[in-house]
Amino acid sequence: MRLRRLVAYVRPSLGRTPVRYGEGVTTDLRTRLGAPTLRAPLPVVDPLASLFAEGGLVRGRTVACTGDAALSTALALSAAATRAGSWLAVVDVPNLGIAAAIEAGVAVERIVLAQPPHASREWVTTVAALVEGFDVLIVAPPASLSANDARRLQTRIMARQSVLIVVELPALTSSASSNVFSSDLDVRADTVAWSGIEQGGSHITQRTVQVRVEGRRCASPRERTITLPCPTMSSAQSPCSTPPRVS
Amino acid sequence: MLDTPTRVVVVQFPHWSSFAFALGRSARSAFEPIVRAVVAHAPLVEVTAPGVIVFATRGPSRYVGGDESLAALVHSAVGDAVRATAGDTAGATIGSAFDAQRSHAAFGVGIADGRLAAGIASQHALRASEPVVVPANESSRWLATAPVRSLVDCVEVIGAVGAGVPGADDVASYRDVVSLLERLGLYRFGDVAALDESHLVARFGAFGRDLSRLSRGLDRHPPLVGEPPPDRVCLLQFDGPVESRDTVVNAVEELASQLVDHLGAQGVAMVRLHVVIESDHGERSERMWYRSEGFSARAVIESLRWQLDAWILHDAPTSGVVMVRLSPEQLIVNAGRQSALWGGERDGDRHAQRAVRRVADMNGADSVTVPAWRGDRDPARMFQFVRSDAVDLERRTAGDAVDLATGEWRGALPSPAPSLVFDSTDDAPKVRVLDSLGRAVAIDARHAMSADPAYVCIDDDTYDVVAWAGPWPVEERWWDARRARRAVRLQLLVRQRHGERSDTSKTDASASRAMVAVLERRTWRLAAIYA
Repeated sequence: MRLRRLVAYVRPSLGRTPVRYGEGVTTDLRTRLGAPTLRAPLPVVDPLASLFAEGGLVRGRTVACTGDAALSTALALSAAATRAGSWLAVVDVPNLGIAAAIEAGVAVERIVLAQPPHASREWVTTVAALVEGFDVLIVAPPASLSANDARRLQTRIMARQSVLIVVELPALTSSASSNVFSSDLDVRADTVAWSGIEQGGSHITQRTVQVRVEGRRCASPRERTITLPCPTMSSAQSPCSTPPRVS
Repeated sequence: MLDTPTRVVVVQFPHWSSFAFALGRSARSAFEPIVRAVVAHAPLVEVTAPGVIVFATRGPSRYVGGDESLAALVHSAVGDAVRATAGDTAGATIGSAFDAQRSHAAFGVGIADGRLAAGIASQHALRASEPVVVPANESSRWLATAPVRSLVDCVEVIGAVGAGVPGADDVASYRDVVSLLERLGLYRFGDVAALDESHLVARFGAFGRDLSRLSRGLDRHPPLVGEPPPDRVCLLQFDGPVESRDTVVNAVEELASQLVDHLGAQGVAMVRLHVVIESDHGERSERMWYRSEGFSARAVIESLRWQLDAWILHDAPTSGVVMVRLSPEQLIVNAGRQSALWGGERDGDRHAQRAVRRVADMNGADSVTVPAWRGDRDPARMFQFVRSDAVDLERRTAGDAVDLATGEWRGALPSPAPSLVFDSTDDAPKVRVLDSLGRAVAIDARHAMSADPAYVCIDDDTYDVVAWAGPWPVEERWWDARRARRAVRLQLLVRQRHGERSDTSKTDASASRAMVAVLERRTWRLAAIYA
């Protein structure tokens, strides 16, 4: 009863709230009343982990992935977290190659794909609802997304302590995405070499990607050249050998 | 109540999903004609998974005059149904290819006391291609000589390993159990049955008790000692006939969770559930459902949805639903679910499931999907996307999503896999592959290219071809005139033309992009991008 009154008191001050609110109210309340509980960063596979000062993806942040290897890098970034029990939502990437996700080391039983409507308001409501249950979200924002809605979504991400990975899909597919998110980290992944392929012979066996991490939450830009898929990624771990999640 | 195993018939198709896929249909809906063929002889059957039917012999066997004649009858009825299913889709078929398809449709019919013995009997029947009937009261002796290895083949019949560990990979857990038993020198069920139950419990936990009971030829679940709780049959009657499937499901959802909670409060869970659906014109659909770990409300809904879909699709009821009845047939003592310290179900799984359901309510269930392994050499068709409400996310394991045993497809794209894939039905960008003179590259009957590819046009942009691999021919189902497919794949490494791109400061390779183009019916289409 006391809590109800408190909620009723806070609700008008929250301003424009998404329609489906649920337990989000209490989450927002917690962030308003005190410091959010700090949770350990989400783990990242070995070759990429050294690019982050914290050794992993800090919860509550928005990461923008650009470059021609953006999607592969986004999958690689989320792989270790899904193997440790986090769920991954892939929003608005209808043509995702699941085989590539498995190769990157993503636990395929914890991938969910969502196709929200493209109107800015509905898109944000859908993603905001997904944020409640998913630790990692890979999204390709529609062109219609407004900066206002993007900001509201980022607030939600911070309150729920998830990680939002915004990917830039190749311009040659029809849905050109414009990034209206103000990202905490920018990850630029460009392929520097394709090995194996020749004039008619063999086939692509490996790609060498230069990954550069910078942004306002990154003291100094870090850069590293890795090969995709990373050899350590697809080595499957048994569920018992994953370390317990610290919360 | 006496602790005697139920005498059951098991009909098992070990490769049903491959067979259904070869027919180009979903495993569940393709299995429905087979179920109907069996239902003609035994009204109440249990479909544990697509490809597995279990039912009690008691009534049907007496009606047709003995287990042998029942087994023969079921065998011939199922055989006819399989031929009809394969026949009406495959059309004119040529010998060897049809045989290959037939080997996927191999099935066995076994009758024995208890599900495990009947399951193993059906495996024997599969090899002998005639039904196997273990005489009454002989099952435990017969089972004692069977290898423990056959547990792995009977996963669907006897259910998952751990009642307490939902989400554990079924087949993999059974392999672990079998491998441990074999290392302990216990190769046959007789060896396991000779051990004291308490030793097995000490080694395997709760499953040790089940293992001991199964090895001794008993039913997996001991009969309930106490009085079953009253009012456990739930009846839902609609005021008027309901035409919409989703309305029925939503209405039952409430009822199912009440039923599960009610039983839970009494300390029991149901492992077998009898579902009856009736239409306004008196048409009925009834089926038995089995969950070895006990039904959750979610599992009840999944079963109901399956049954409704099958009924609507194959019996085409002429009027709306007026009544749904859920009656728990077998109850067990509810051991409860212990949330696991490592592995198993966690809070995160429940949160994710809740979020998925909320989004499905908002935008329709089709908008939220999960990948499921289908197997194909076409990268876009390797996985299918299943509506999230058709699978139980809580019990989902890696094995449901990808079957690594059949993961190798000859002719599939080599690793690394492309991260964006396009089906022929997708609105992928238009692509043209041109030679140095600007003519479209063609492939002749012997899979030779007319000229080396030099340019690629995607929509209106032109790219230079830096390197290519292929052509890789794909010829599928040449024996089936309607679904035959002939295509050629080309892996291309392209670079945006100079002059069109302003930022020339980059190295050459950074502007390059790898893709796969497919030539089918004289037109090129984009099949995959390595993004």
